[in-house]
Amino acid sequence: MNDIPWQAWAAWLSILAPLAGSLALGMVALLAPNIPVERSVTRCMQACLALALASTVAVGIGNGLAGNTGDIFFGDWVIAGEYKIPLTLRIDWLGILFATMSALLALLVARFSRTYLHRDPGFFRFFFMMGVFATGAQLVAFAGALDLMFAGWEAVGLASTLFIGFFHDRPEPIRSSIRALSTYRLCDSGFLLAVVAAHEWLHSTTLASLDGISSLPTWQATVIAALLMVSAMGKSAQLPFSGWLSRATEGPTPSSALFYGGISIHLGLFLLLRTWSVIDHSPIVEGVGIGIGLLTALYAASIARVQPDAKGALAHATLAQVGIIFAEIAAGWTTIALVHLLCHASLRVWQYLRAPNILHDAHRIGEHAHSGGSWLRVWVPSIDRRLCAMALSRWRLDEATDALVAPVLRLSRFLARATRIKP
Amino acid sequence: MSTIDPMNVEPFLHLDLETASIFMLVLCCLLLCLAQRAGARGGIGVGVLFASAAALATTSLRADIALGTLGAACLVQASFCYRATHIGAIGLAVAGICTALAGWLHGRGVQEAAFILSMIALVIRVGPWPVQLAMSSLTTRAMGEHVRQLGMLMPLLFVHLRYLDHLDLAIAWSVPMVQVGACSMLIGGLASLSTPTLSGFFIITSSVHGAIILMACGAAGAGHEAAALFAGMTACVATGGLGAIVEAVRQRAGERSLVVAGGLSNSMPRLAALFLLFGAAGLGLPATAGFLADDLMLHALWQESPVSTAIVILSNGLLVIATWRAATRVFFGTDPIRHSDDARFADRILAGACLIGLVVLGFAPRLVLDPSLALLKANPVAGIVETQGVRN
Repeated sequence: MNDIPWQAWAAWLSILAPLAGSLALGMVALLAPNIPVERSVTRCMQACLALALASTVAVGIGNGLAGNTGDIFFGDWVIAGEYKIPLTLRIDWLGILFATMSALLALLVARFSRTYLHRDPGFFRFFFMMGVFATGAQLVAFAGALDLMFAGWEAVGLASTLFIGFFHDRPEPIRSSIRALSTYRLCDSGFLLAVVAAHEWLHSTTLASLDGISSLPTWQATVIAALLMVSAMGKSAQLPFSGWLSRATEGPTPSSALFYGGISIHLGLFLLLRTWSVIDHSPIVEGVGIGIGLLTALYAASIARVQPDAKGALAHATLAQVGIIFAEIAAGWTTIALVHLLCHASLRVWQYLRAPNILHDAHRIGEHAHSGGSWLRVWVPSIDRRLCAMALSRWRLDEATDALVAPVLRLSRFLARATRIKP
Repeated sequence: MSTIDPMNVEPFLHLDLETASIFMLVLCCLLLCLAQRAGARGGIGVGVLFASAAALATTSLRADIALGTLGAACLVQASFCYRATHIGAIGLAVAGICTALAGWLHGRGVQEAAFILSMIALVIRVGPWPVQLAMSSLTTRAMGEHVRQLGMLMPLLFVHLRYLDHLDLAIAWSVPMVQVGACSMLIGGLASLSTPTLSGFFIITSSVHGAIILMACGAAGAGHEAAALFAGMTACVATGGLGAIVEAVRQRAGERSLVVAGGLSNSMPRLAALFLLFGAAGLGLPATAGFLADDLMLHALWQESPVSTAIVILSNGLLVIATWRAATRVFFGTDPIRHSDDARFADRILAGACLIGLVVLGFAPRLVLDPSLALLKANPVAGIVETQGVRN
C-alpha cells in the first residue's frame, strides 16, 4: 500500500465522495422523522461534488507532474477460488479528462438545480440521485477493470431511469422510464456477458489484460467486442436502440442536460474509447460501428429538423453528433473523437440548461425559426413531404420495436396466467 | 477463530465460530425480527428460540444435530402457520421432515439419500417454478412466516453446502440443476412482466430467487460453495426485506393492483424507497451484496453451462424491468385516498440494518467469502466419520 501514489487515493476520493453524500442523505431521510430541508440537502451534495471535482483536478495535476500513473492495483475485492475481481484503477488522460468533465458538469447542474427545483416535491430525490449518478460516472472514468466499470455503468443507468420518471404524477414519464430501463437492461446484458466471457477467456477483466486480447482466437475477440459495442449502443441511443431518447426528456431540464446532453449519452462512447484495444482487433465490429454511427446520425438529423419542441430537437441534434462520434471511434480516429466528445458534451449541457429560455430569447433578439426551402423541397416536393412525414413519426422506430416486443409480452401474459396460484 | 481438527472432534457439541457464520447469524436474526414486524406468530421468546436453533445448526460440527435442529424448527413453524394456510403449513412440515430425515440418514452414513432429502426441503422452501405452491401460499396468507422461513433458510443452505454438497451425486447433479434453475428463472422472469397484483409480483420474485438458490446449489456441487453461500444469503435477505415491505404496504392499503398507478408514494415515501432498494439489491444493485452475488454466480454458472448463463442474465434483466414496473404501479401516480402512515420507526431501523448488512457485504465481501471458502471446502464430514472410526 505504501507504493500507491497519492493520485490513486485522490481518484478514490472523487468516486466515493458523492456516494458518501447520497448515503448520508439517505440514512437521515430513512431514520429522521422529517426529510432534510433544502438548504442542508444542497450544502451536503454540493460539498461532496466539489470535493469530487477538486480530487479529480488534483489527480490531473499529479498526473501532469509525475507522468502517466497507469494502472494501480489495490488488491482483490473478491477471491473465490480462481475467480478474482481486482480492485484496479486506471489513471490516464482519457479517464482524467472524462472524470473532470463529469464532476464539473455535475457540480454546475447541482448549483443550477438549487434554484430551478426550489420547493419542488422531488427536491430531495433529485439531489440524492445526483450523488448516485456522479459516483457512477467517476467510477466508469477511473475503473481499471470491467467489473468495476460495470458497477458505475449500472449506477448511471439507474439514476437515468429514476430521473426520467421524476414527475411521476403523470403517466407518460412512468411509461418512458420503463422503456428506457428496458433498453438499458437489454443492452447491459451485453456488457455483463462480455465481463464473464473476458474472465473465462482472458482469465482477468482488467483493462491491461484486455490490451492483450490479440492472444485470443479472432472469433472470441469479436464476440467480446460485439458485446461491448451493443452495450455502448444502448447507452448512447444508437440505432436500433434510439427510441427511448426522445421520451427521456420527460425528466427535469437539469437532469436532461446532464444525462442526455452531457454525460450519460456519451458514456457509451467512453466505453468504446476505453476498450479500443478490443474493438481494434475486430474489423467486423469496426465496420458495423461505422455503419451504425452514420445511420444514427442521418436518422437523428432528419428528426431534429422537424421537431416542434426545443428539448426534442436538442435531443435529436445531440444524437446526430453522438452518431458521428460513434463512427469516428469505430473508424479509429480516437483522438478526434475524444476532443469532439468533450466539446460536444459541454455545449449541449449549456444548450439544455438554456432550453426553457429559447422562446424568451427569440422574442428579445427577434430571431424566428426560418422556414426556408431546401433543395429537395424545391426540386422534388413529394419526396420531401414523405421524408418529413416519416421524420415526424420518427421513422416508425417505436412501432417496429413494439411489434418485436409484442410476442414476448403475449407469452408473458400467458405465463402469468398459467403460474398464478390461488391458495 | 477455530480450526477443524479431524482427530479432535467432540462427539456431540463442538461449536465452530467463524466470521462467515457469525455474519450470517446476524443477518438471520435481523430477518427473524423483520418477520415479527411482518406478523409472524409468537413473541420475543419464539424469536429467540428460532435464533438459537439457527445458531446451533450453524456452529455445530455434527450434520445430524444441525439438520435435526433445523428440521424441528421448520416443524414448529409449520404448526404456527397451519391456521393461516394449510398448504403452506403442509409444505413446511414436509420440508421439516425431509430435513430431519436427512440429518438422521447422514448420521447413519447414507449420504446420497440425505443429500436428496435436503435438496427436496430446500426446493420446497425456496419455491422455484413450478413447485412454488407452498411458498406462494405462505406469501399470500402468512407473510411473516415466509420472512421467518427465509431467515431460517440461510442456516439450512449453509449446513447443506457444508455437509452434503461434496458428494459425487452433487457433482453429477450440478449441470442439470443449473439448467433447470435457469429455465425456471426464465419462466419466472417472463411471467413477472405481466403479473396483475403486488402479491403476484412478490410470489414470482421469490420464485426467481428460489431458482437462483437452486442454481447456487448446483454450482456448489462443482466447487463453487462460497459463491453459492454468498448468493443464497443475498437472495434470502433481499427477498425477506422485500416481503416485509410488501406486507407493510398490504397492511396499510390492502392488495394493490399493478394495472393502474396506485400513487402510494405520497403517503408512504419511505416504504417506496425501501421497496426499490430491496428489490434492486436482490437483482444486482451496485454497492450492495447483490452486485457481487450476481457476478460470482455468473462466473460459477458459465463453467457449468454458458447457455444457462446467458439465460440467467436475460431473466435477471426481465425481473429488473418487472420490479421497476411494480414500483411505478404501486407507488407512482396520484392517489386520492390518504393512507394511514409510512414505515414505523422500528421497521425503518430493522430494514435499514438489513440494507447496511447488504452494503457491508457489497463493499467487503471477503468478510464472508474468505472464511467460508476454508470452512466449506474443509468438508468436516470426512473428519467426523474418520474420528468415529478411530474411536470405535
